Amino acid sequence: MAVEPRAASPITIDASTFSTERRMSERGGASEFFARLIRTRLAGLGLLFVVVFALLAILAPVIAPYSPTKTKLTNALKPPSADNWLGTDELGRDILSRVLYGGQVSLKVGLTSIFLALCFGIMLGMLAGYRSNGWLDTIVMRAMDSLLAFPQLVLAIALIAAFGVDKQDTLFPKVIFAIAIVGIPAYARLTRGQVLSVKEREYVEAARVIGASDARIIWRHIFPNITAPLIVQSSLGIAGAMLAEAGLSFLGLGVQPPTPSWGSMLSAGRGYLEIDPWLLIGPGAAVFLAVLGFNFLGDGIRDVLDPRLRN
Amino acid sequence: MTAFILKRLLSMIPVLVIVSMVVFLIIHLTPGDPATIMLGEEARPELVEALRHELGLDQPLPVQYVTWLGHVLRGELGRSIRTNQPVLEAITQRLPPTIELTLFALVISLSIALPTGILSATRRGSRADLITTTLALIGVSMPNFVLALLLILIFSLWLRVLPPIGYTPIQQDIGANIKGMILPGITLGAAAAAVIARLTRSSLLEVLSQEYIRTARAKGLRERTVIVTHALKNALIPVVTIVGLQVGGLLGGAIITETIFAFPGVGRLIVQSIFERDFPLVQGGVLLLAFIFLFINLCVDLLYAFLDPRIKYG
Repeated sequence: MAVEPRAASPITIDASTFSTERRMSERGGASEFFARLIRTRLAGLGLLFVVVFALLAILAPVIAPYSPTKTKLTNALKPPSADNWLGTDELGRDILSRVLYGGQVSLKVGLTSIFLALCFGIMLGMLAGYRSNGWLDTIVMRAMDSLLAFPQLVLAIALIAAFGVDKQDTLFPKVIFAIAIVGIPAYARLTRGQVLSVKEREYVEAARVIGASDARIIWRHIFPNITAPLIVQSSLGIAGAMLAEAGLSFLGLGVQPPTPSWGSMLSAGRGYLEIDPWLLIGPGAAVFLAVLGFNFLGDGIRDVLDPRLRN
Repeated sequence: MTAFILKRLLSMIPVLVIVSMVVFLIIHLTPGDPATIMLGEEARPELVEALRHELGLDQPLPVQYVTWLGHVLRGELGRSIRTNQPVLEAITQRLPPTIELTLFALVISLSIALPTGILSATRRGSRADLITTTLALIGVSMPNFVLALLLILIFSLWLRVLPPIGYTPIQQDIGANIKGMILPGITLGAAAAAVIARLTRSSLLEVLSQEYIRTARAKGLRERTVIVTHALKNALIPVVTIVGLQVGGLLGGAIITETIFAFPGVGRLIVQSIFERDFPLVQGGVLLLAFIFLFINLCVDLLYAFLDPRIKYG
């Protein structure tokens, strides 16, 4: 939620932030980009966090020592031990297993919602930017401004309320859609700004002169040249989406038990804070480190793509 | 300046109209009949029909919107389904704790962010810079509900120096009010502090590299004068924008913070109303928070004109 989702970066990414002359292709391609990324200390650390987090989440069914949902009341609220590395929760479930499976939920929501927000944001931003000063541009951008008029978490909560919270088994896709909708305006504005700048370039003019269609100009000539800021925004956006999912689940408006989610685990553990603070450590550290990783990565990618912003 | 204010106010009209449409649609996007959802599947059909009529759900959608907007403009946001209390009254009762919490968090975040951002920029590359930038990165990644639980654990349950939950109105007991506001204020303000500190640092670094600063130093001015009188004034202009945007984050974050600390604010009211399917209260609360956010952004834009005479409006 880039819900409140929260912007990790104090530096606004706008049309002027990345010049097309700084395109990755001109710097020696993707391999050089990754080499630079890994050499940037923060980005390298972020990449490491993200890769470890993704691997743990994907491999959860293989590496989790127990089922994340199997309850055993005689084993409830146990402190960390050799059998249960992070202890057990109020229903005797293994916290480590639930944290690992919770990573799957977080990753799914983060990636899916930002993918959807990117797709719609790019499409709307392209249309608005390519037809700037037209009615389509006005309508799209006013609609985006209106969505930005809401505090992001408030809008996400309002959307979930609108989608309905009665059927708890359908809340998962609703959370994804709510976070995606909240994220669209940022990508649409960013894309529009980039398109406005790129469409005036000579190579776009040349494509137009040789008779290329609007669709071809947009996808073959403009789109490849506006991807850099979108990559940065997406990385920071995934962090925001994961935070939003955890926040919504914490409020009971997200992923519902028994499905493990870091937010709902923290919410359930709240009642046992005094007698069993271990309930807080696993999911709390997981959500913090995963978000930190994506924020580091986003900052690092921005530094690599535009060294002027290293301040 | 007057022309700018008028233009800015006029540009808000379409945004306000669309915001009102989004809020209006909250009740209509719900799958199924909103009246049945609000009253429950077992409700008697005549009660459902009466509620449908009361909410105007038996009218065509455009008619419903115009009617609803007319009521909103007159300050009539309907009545709570659960308590029958007028929505506006319910919200205004809950507004003071939310505003107090948001302001308290803003004060905390600014009092942490500005000195650390300035220190970090003026001692770039030092250990102090490294510590503050690392803390700022941690701050932006720390979910407020995790921070809240950690603070409660340390200061309320282990040290027992601050209350874990609850709100005392300021007029009732100012000491208890401040004491109860510290943990929620830090919880809510920490992320904003991190963002503002990072921007203050980068903005000040950029200004410090400009030629007029070199000229000021060459004239033999003291470093303190260079920073306070010449650099800071320009460096803080973008900070004003980010502070305005952060208020939106604070209003959103207040929902979680109020829920954790059992604050009787608008955020908690919205969450409770969602679970109670009290849509008029949800609509009213969301509309109010959006209006407050829009109003703050307007104020930030206007403040710009005073702070930076280079910006041309009109």
